[in-house]
Amino acid sequence: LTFARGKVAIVGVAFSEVVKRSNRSLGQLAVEACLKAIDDAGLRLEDIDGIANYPAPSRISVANPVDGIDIVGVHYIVQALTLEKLRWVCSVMNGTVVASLVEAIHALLAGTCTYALVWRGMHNPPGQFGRLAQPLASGDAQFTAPWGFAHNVVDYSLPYSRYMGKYGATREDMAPFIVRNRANAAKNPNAAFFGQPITREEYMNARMIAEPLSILDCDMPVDGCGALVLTTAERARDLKQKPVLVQGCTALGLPLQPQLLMDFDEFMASAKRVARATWQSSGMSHQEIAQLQLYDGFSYFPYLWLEAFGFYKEGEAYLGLKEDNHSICGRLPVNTGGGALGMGRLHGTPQVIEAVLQIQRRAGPRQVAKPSVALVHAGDSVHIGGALVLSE
Amino acid sequence: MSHLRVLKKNMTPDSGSLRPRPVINDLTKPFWDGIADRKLIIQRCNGCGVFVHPPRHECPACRSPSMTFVSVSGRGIIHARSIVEAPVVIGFEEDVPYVCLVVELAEQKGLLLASNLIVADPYEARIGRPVELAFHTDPDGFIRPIFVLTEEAAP
Repeated sequence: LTFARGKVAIVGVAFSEVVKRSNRSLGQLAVEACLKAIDDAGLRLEDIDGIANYPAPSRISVANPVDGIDIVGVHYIVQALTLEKLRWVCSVMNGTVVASLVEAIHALLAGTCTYALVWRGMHNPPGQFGRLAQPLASGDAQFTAPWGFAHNVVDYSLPYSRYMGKYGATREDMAPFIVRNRANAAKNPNAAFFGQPITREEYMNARMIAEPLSILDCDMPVDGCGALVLTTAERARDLKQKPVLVQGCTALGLPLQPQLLMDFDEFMASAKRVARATWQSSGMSHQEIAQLQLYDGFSYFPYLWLEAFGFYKEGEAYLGLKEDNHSICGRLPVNTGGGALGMGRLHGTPQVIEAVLQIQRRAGPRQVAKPSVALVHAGDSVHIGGALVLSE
Repeated sequence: MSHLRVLKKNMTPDSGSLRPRPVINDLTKPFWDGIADRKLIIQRCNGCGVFVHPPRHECPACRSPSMTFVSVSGRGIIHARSIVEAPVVIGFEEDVPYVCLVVELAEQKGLLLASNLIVADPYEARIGRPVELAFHTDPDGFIRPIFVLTEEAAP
């Protein structure tokens, strides 16, 4: 039994305003993105009969998130858009936009709905990101927090330190990727860093948070929302945009061993399981991929995905990624829209929407010559990261 | 003795007040009792002999519920590390730069323990370097196992 390849299509995409801090509420931004995506597909609001979402707040420190302000969940959208024809609703507990897209794809294949709306909105409240007052450390955290580990950037710097120590990668090796990402974002009106390229020197001198991760190795928290509309490939034929077909999908990045900390070995083993499921689902291999949109919530993540999915041998992606081969004009372009590092912290929507715009040849000055088949990856190996294979 | 000087300089009584303290339960009590006696003891499966950390009710390798705690050598190598340079972690603002350390204990491949490396120059914390256990008492009396660098093994 194989996945129903090419039977579901992405037919509309949009972003709201994406900025570091907006003076509009997250609810307003999400409504903007959803209405624009429905319009992009050439559909009417009343056509939407399925919705899926991953609503977790941008900051885990938000104790009691308010729907429409800290998060934008299914309750808020159903009410804000008065979705009377709704037949299917899904709110995933974990993952990124990809985990909710996978659910929507399955619902469309099962005939549970006909036009599905999926969004991921994130709010960046005032104050410093990631500071958690935790006077007590219970469960496994009692073995990490008392030593000063309790911060996202500290946790995620650990696998990178291991990668660097194991293979000899340096921040100098990373610089070309960071600079190129921001150059791509500078050409992307959807990006938080639109019109704001950076130099190699700016990267090398960036403020260090938890070495090896500097401020420019972390995607920037933003206020914004990305939205997508999906339907069956058959229905997609009559719509406004060229349909982008789903050839394979998965969302399953979970460690098989208990994780005291982010451990590089388990991270890679889990990434390989995501890769295996993706290729199994699509019936393809890395050789058929023409463009890569890879999750870069932290700068080193693409190294891991490039190796896990077979584009490079283990320990060699850091050498490959800095080459022009992966620029917009290269043979295998990577993160043509600027990725999360350039577009903002929107949990996978930068990757998926850019792949769609490229396949539809709507990427303007970022348009690649051969966008035919995209591998899109979002999330990490321990929080249900996933991938999509999209094609013309 | 150099590491003790660094501790004194970096860890003032004020900076400790918001530091997380463990919520000890039946499963984790032997570990913390060991620390209070300045011993590092790690859970081990009576069935298959595998070391397990953090403690579990049953062995993740063979599912045996028969687990015990045994003393370990306190020797290991740097598996991963982070040099925290920005004052982003509540309770540790005064300590920057400090080294968050993941030690692979000598007893078993992949047996990882979180700690701090106490060292004058944090950039000496290179992957693969040998380390050994020491103990530090925080101003509130909390005893914390830490690590220091040891001489590199002769080639």
